Amino acid sequence: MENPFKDIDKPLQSVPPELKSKVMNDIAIAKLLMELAELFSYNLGDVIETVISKRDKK
Amino acid sequence: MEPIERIKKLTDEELVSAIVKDNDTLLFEVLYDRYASLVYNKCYGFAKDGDEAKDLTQDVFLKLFVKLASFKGKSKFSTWLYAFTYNHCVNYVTRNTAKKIEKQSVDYTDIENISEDPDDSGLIDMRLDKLKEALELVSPEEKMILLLKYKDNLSIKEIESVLDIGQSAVKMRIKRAKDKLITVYHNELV
Repeated sequence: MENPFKDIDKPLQSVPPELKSKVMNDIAIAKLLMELAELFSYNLGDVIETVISKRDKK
Repeated sequence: MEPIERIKKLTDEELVSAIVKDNDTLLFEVLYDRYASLVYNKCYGFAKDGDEAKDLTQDVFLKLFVKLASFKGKSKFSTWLYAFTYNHCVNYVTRNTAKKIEKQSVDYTDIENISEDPDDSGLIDMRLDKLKEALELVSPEEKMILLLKYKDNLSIKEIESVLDIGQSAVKMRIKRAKDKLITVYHNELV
């Protein structure tokens, strides 16, 4: 007997063509926001490195 | 920009790491083309209509772009994306129920009785139309794990890694979901 789960989404729906431009538009905005966020955040790895290198060597 | 032919030959995993490297939107478009139909159809299974499926798909891809870096390559990308999509859909469907997370207590005697390869004969004999109805009557979480196991053919190990839960929890949830589905199928459908 065939596994009925295999056909559960048949007939396959086709993706609405206008969806792609909506998604790509979202992505462009998300990328901008992610880059802005990066500008304003500290790179904690760098902070640690800087502090270590500036320690007084006694 | 890389030649189209080379990009086409990239595996999913290579493509993903290239996208993550500098949030490349053009490469993400390639990923969209590879998976739009799959994601849309999975969302369709949880949505009321085409419009809702469209919205869900749009949200899944946005979330995917932002969270792509959290894909660590522990499983195949497609497998990870199945769970990612289902998780989003389940959260969407259950958003209004404001249900407190039920701590599912695990009965250890049950776990001992779960064999590695559960007997699936009760599921295989189901009629497609009734199975679809029954899946609407179990909880979205149960539907998700049943689809991962029986539709997408993930192994127990793969489900463990994509849902980030232990082996016994996976087996337990599958068993519970299956029992529930079979009960619903036989008792609640005419």
